[in-house]
Amino acid sequence: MTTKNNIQLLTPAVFHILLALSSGERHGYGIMKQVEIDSQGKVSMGPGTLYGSLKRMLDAGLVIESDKRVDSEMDDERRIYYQITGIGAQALEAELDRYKRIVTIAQQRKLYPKTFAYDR
Amino acid sequence: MIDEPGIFHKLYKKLLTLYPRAFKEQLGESMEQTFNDLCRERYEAGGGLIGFVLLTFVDTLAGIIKENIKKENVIMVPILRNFGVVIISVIAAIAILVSTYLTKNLDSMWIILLIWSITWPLWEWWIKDKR
Repeated sequence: MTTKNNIQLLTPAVFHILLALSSGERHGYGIMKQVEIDSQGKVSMGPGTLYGSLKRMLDAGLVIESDKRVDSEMDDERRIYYQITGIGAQALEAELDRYKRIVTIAQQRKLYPKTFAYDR
Repeated sequence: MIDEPGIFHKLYKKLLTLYPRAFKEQLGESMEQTFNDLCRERYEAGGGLIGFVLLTFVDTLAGIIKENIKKENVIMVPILRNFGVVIISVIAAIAILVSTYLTKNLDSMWIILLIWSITWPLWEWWIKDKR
């Protein structure tokens, strides 16, 4: 989906993956766990959704694969890690700006008076 | 016991073979590892695996269908393009012949050619939009 200014809107899955990778590179399972933590358990994605999104993100240059290595906290299996790129960070920032603008509009229109009561 | 992770690992590996080759080569191994990690997590937590495995299989199957449709579209666009050229050309040729026969002059041929020159870029635009 694109806006009139041709800014790519991120799907919820892509947004959460970028957010998970913004604090450091992770393997697939690590991304899933971080998404669950970030969303307080409200968002969980299966491997099909995760890797389908990662494929599109790799193709779009939002993330890159890093070398395989062992996760010492798990087992001795070597895993591919994923890392956010400069383009990915820009896309995340643009999306967060968009959310911020939407929240500002919602506050101005008093759509969530109780939620934003502390701002007054 | 059916609730053993080993059985599901094998089944999941089989399921991953349904992805397009390029996708499988790039991400298949990571997907398998992630599935095994999730299964182990569930198993160690003492949770049943069947419900989780069913949901994961449905999610993966949806991904397989999506990736295969995407791949098919890449193949179908040139076929559609060639098919469109043939169909439009045949219709234009028949229209020219019929109108020439009915009117006994070639004036209507220019109208047909005009229609064809409008239809052709529209077809090209439509195909381009499908990519």
